[in-house]
Amino acid sequence: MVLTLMRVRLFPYLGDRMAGITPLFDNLWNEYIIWSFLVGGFTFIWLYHHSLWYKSEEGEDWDNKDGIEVGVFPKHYDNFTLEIAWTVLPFFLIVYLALISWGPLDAIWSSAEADGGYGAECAPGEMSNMTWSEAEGRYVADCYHVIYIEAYQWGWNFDCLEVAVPDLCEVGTAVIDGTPAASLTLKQGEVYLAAMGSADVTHAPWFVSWGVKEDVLYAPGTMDLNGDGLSDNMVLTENGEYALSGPIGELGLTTVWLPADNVENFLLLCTEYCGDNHAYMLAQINVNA
Amino acid sequence: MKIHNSNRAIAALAVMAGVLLLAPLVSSLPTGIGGTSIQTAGCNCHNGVSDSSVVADIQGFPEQYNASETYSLSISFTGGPAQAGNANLGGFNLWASDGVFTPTDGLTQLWGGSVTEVAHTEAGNDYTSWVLDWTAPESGKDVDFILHVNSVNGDGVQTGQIDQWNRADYTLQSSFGIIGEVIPEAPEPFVVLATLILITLALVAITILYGFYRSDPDGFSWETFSPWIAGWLTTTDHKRVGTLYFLAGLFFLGIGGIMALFIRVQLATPGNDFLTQDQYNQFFTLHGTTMIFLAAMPLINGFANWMVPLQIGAPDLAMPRLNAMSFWLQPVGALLIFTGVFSGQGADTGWTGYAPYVVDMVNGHDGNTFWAAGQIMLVASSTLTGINFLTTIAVMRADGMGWMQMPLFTWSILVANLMLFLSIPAFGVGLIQVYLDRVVGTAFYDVGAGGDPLLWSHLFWYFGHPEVYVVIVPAFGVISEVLATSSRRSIFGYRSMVFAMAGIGVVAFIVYGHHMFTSGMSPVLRFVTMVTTMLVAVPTGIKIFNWLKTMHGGSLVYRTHTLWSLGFLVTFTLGGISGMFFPSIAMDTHLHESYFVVAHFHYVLVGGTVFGFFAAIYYWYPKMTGRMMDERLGTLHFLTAFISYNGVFWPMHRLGVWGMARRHHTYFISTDDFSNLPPEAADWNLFISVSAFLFFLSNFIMVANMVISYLRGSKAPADPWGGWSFEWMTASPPPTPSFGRYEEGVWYDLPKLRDANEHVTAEPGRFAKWFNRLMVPDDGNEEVAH
Repeated sequence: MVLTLMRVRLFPYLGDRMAGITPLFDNLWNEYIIWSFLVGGFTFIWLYHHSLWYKSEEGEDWDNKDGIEVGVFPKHYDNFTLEIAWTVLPFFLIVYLALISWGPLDAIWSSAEADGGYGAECAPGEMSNMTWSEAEGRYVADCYHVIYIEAYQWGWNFDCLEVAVPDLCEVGTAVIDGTPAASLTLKQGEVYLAAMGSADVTHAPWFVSWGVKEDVLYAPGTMDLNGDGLSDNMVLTENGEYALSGPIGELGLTTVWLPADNVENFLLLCTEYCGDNHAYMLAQINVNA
Repeated sequence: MKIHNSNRAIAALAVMAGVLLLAPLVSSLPTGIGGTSIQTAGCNCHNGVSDSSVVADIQGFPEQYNASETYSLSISFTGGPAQAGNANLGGFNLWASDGVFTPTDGLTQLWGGSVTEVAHTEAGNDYTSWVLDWTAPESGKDVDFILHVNSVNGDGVQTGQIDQWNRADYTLQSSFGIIGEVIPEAPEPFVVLATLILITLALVAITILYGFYRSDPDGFSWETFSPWIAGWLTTTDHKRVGTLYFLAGLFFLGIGGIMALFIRVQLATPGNDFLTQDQYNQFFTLHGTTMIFLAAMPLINGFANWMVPLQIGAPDLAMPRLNAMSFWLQPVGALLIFTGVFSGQGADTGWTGYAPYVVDMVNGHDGNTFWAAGQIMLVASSTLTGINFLTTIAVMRADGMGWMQMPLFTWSILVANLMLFLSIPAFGVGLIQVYLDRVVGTAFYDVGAGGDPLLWSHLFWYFGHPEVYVVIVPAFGVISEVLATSSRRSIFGYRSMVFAMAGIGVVAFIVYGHHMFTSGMSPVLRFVTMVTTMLVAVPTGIKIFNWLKTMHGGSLVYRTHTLWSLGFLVTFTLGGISGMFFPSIAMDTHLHESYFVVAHFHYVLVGGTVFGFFAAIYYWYPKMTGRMMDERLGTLHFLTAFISYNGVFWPMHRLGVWGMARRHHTYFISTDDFSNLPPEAADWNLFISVSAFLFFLSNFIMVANMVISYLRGSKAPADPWGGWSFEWMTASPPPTPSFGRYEEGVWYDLPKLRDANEHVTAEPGRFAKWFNRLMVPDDGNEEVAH
């Protein structure tokens, strides 16, 4: 009730734009906003009250309660109970905020090897069937698909690997602001684990609509040192599809979960400064029904 | 044969110079130094070796390119093992820093998924020349080309005459025009910046000269001016060194502000080309570096130099000559940092200087080397300053002044310098590694050689996060002094204020990991860092509530410094609250590197640190100059600056949540083709840019106030505000030495602090009473009750 009132009545813009990110982000955001208003409101009301109530004029007589005198350390003005109170109460609030921030961590960094809510890697033809779990406060799915992202100065290469099935994952090109760029098309309701490596300096893709970003570090396998015409991170399988050439950790790749929850398209930006064309290191992400 | 010290020094310098000259030629790797891209590491396919007998060539370059025009380029090579009859002849790779390559036949193809890199196809492997199109960029800046060509024997193995390759570099200049249309040459932003810096320097010099003239109009001559200025340049007096720090800090605050205005003009509208990307990257790098290291730190040191000895009743700092050296290292460091700008190759790494880009010798600027060198000087300066202040505060306090009777500003300087002293060596080590990587060719951050870029992140943020507290904690000290004096009360909870500051100083070292939540850190470590980061809010909250309680029952007098301290409470509280969003990792993955971060740290560093310094200027200016400042101008400054400041930074929170990334040359408004920022983001950016100009200009009211008050202000008494600490005991301005007299190696008449709590301090505290009850009585006659 309070949440609705604050979001819709008092701060209507919060209800619209913020909900554009995942429910995971939105729930935390709304909770933090409420506490921010409570703490900020308490502090500012106190500040305005005291700064006006105890106002006096220059030259006006005043009661020197604390024995202020130059060259003399003044009398202590303290209250042990109050000082303990505003040490302990904020501490409890922080414990609470840490607890509500702890829950969603699994949704961000679940190990691909462990059951983090997204199951195991999907078998060929298997679908994720992603749903929002109110109980867990996060998305859950039967399985996930692994895709590969390679960053370089200043662009992105996507590869659907073994998920290269029409509708499930497609790589293409788009024109953004007059400049050609890579595009990645995913399917709504599916969960993807992006394994990422950089061919040069550190980059960081920002999937704005899903509120996630992760650094992409240099990975030696982004080079074609074995001369097979492919990045060494990939191999051509017997059935003609591409696959990662080894376990993600051993290839030095970082990962990020991509829960494709809504039908939309948005820009992928680089958010780790990487040099001259950093601002134009773009790609387009499409999520189709 | 006896070798004089000077000869040894010359020999050592000669060896060092030789090393620096020869070192770039040294390769620490069999495959060469640098990144792994072909532009850096060279062409190593076919196991060939670079050979000068292979000559690469490009035909078709104009003398100067026209924007957006397409040119047909012909690439070829001669020499090496390629000859008719070979199964293959060779190949090439051509990279350009800008523009778009378009293959025109099946012999060439775009390479690496980029439109700025092109190479031969499999079919093209049978040729020694290739043709393709290159379309020039829209903006007029120099474009670099790097061409690698392979000459191969075609047998697929290294028998007989082995494959060879070579490289050729080209730079193509822009005509700054479009065919058939003459457009006026745009002002070069760096020329504008340099001009503004020179004008500011000239104004400072004129103001100093006029101040000297007004001090004695009749005696104004070179004979009197020369020793006067020499006295300032060679001074070791803490007050004069403090003034030098203060003037340097204020000067660079202006320079950093000018660079911020350039940034805001660029971002005023989407797709603006006021600055090129290259220039924009340099401006935000130097803005951050200048504001943190050349403005905030000197301003802190200015006030610390002035006030710490006065507040503790010391005649000067413990090591006055070291103090002067600390100051003079700063302008030298600043010159080095800015050297790159004046060569057109300013540092372009961001103030965080992230590796491996900072050691990228292909795309990174040469100015990054100067940036690292200048920062090393500043690290040395800060280290020496730390030694001096810690020693001074530890051993030169007046009689009667225990640790828990020190003024809170002095406490804040002690805590800040302790933090700095413990953190800045890590930064220094990182900078030296970067410098060696760039100059000598080591491979600390060369990922291709096994270097670890995350090492830099750890070293930088181990220093960088405490550094944020280093610049905010002194502002806490100022606000504690100003609010208590303005309320005509003792600060509420003096002891908890000290413990809170010390607590911040300790926690500062275990929170830096939150800057690296998206850097692939262990999830467990990320959770631990999340909790420790949130804990910072506890001591900070204690301080805010103590400040508020200080006003309770007081008689708050509204002076300009009071207004700034109340303004500080508003903006710093807002900055503190927004800071709580980042440790919550699920939100941080979205907010990190967005404008929400920019808003947050400007609320802390401007709304906190700078507002604190503004309060300090109005509070201590009468003490420093002996003149009162104009209160009406001060109030006008507060109102205009406070409103425009919030106009600049408050909307950035929304922009960040919407998805506007920091360190981006432009931003993208959603179109029918793609979705990014909503249309109103452009309006807000324009609003921010206008507010930024108002904020910048509003601060000239303070500068004018300082100058006018210095010349015409009424004379200040020793204690104009009713403060208690020692600085209000001495005259305004204080004499030199500030306290006492020095005769035959002994100081006389130094002040002694009395304590109005003597009856309290003689009694055991609450904890001591509890502890005493546990003790066995010491008279030995009483039975101990078991």
